[in-house]
Amino acid sequence: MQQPTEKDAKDVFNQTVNENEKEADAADVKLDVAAQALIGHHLRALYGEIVKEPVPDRFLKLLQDLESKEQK
Amino acid sequence: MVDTGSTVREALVAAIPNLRAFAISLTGDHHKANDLVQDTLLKAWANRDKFEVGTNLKAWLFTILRNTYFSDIRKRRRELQDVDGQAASQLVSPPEQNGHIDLADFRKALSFLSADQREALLLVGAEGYSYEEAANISGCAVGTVKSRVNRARAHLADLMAVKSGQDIGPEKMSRAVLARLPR
Repeated sequence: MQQPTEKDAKDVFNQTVNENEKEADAADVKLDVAAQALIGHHLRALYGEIVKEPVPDRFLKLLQDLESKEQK
Repeated sequence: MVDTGSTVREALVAAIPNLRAFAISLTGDHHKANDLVQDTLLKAWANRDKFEVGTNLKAWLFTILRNTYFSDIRKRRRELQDVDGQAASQLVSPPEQNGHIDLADFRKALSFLSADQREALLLVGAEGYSYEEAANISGCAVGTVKSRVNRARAHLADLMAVKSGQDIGPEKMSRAVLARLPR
């Protein structure tokens, strides 16, 4: 058996790091399906809640003012 | 003057609910969001002759809104240093990690994302724009939108601690840490 050299140790280390990075990349992209679904659900709930709110009067008035200025 | 004034006005009014939802979710601040929507409507009205009929009015308005928002951020960044860090520091703690995330927690988690990631996630995940459409609105490459959405989702999942629905062991933990390292 050959003694592992410092270079070998470095290679093993680098390989491990690369594998970890690959796994991290995969984890980045391939998120758990359940987590994705939950995020999507919350996102649309939060967003949908605001979309359903009535249009504030200030914006209706603003556009009416702009339009009537134009027609003068 | 052409008799299109009220049609333009009606189309703008119809887009307001989505503009508000985008602005509020993007800024996390109703006051700022209202100002943004108002600025967007004023700019859209002033430039309505530049809008190409037959193209998507809502996407055009979203572009105006996000450009206004990000140029405000850049302006402020010159005065204050780190805008996102500042927003994050206003939050006392990350959301509860017990798996029972309610909407308030989710809103808090959203505020931990960078503005770029939040924008991409909202356009694709909430508005349902394709990556291509979102890239057009944000004025960046399709791949950039994809990676921002992926990062946003991964970051949210981390914050919500629902990744894999399993306990996070030391091995998973280091993977999660590695995933956050800049590459």
